[in-house]
Amino acid sequence: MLVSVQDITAGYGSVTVIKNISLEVDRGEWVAVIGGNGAGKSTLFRVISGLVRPRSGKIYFEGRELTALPPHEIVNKGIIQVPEGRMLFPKMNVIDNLLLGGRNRRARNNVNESLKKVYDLFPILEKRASQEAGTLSGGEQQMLATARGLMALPRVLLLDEPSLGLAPLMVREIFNSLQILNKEGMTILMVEQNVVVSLKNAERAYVLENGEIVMSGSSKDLINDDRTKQAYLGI
Amino acid sequence: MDITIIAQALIQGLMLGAIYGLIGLGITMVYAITGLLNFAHGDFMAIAMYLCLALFTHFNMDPYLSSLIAVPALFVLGLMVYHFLFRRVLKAELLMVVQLTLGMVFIIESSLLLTFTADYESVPNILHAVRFSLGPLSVSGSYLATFLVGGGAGAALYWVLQKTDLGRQIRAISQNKDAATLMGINTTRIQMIVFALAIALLGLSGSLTTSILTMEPYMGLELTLFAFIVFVMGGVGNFLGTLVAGYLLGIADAMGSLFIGGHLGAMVPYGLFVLLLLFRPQGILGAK
Repeated sequence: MLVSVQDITAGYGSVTVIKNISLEVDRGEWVAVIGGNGAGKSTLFRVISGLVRPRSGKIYFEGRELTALPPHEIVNKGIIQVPEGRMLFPKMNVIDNLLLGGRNRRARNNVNESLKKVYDLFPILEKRASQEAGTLSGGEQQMLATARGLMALPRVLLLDEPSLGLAPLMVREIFNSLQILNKEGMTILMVEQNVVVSLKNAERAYVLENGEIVMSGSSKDLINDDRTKQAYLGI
Repeated sequence: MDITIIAQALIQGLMLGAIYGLIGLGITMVYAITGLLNFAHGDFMAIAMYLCLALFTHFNMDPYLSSLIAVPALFVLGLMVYHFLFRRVLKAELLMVVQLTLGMVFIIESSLLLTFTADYESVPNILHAVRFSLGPLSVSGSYLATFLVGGGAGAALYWVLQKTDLGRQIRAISQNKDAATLMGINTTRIQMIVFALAIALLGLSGSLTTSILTMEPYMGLELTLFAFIVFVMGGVGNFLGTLVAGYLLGIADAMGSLFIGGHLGAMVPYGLFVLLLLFRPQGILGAK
């Protein structure tokens, strides 16, 4: 297993947000964690990236424990998060945002090739190169956030709500690009509220409810499961 | 009023402005990456000036030469203050930070008083008595050096902030600390470096001004006050604005003492600050 999350419990102050979560992602897989607002999806990602320390449980990457590492060392290992709400550097231009993405230890010698690659994937970013990130449209900002993540040469890409706040056409465009990346071998772990989009794209999914995993399986099985249909798909 | 006198005052203003800009830039940088203000900021410049005084008294060392000691010494001092004190209040209540740094003010000022007495002091440097003529203007060598080196350092630092990887890291932390962490930036390390760099800048400002500013143990708080004014005038957290505000304040200071003089003249920079707050409360280059 490339990523193995084992029995993680975490929260803020006296509030426990996620309870005993275990999940696994294999090399080259696209796995989704689905669930509504406040289910604990973003907290799970913050724990994996080291921004929040878990109360208990462990995370392994290629069999090595990550849980005690500081966040910048987790990035240096190739675990790259594209956070919810984009979290761009709004007063910096597009190129500075991308360069920051590509500055970690593994990626920094590859910056020029990475730039070329993300410009191929998202040509609009090259046109906007000297524009401040805060002035881009929502869709362009999501492209930039994804491109900034790719600049880091991820070995696993953590995507937090890539469809949030985007028009359906833009969602399709972003996911087309992600499909291309995944076919080229990129491992993706994604959290999403948009269940339809998630199950259409990911191979497997975990369903998170109130901080606990209540269901998991292949996307095909989940999409035909009566409980998922009722709770999330409205059919 | 003779035009050369105005020009003379302008030159003095630019010199002062370069120093105000450097002191303010330290405050702005520390604020940008920690969100905190250091009330003892100016006292570290006093430490640098007294260090130059001691080196001059004991080893007859020129303050310009002493800067080669003062800058690294204050950088190390900055690292230590950050590691042992400032770091511990990063997540504390704001009032804790005020108390800690004001406490540092008292400790530094009392230590300087005990070590050097309350006498007013200044240390001449090699260019102090040298005058350069530019047409009808005559400029003291130490003023010119202060303007060139201080202004140059401010411009160089601005370039570092805008164009280098370190600068990008600093700006990233100031715009979104969590996102900066997710870029693999070791934010703790950058905060420590920037804090020490801000203190090291005071090592430079102090060495440059030993012959121009009169030193006394309690000068630090007034310097801090000026630095805060520059910091707010420039548009809180704006690096370029800080440098511009430094020059404006320096020129206001020099013009005030030339045209009005005395205590009233010394009020001119503060008057400019109040006017600016009335008409442009977001600062010179700040966003609304």
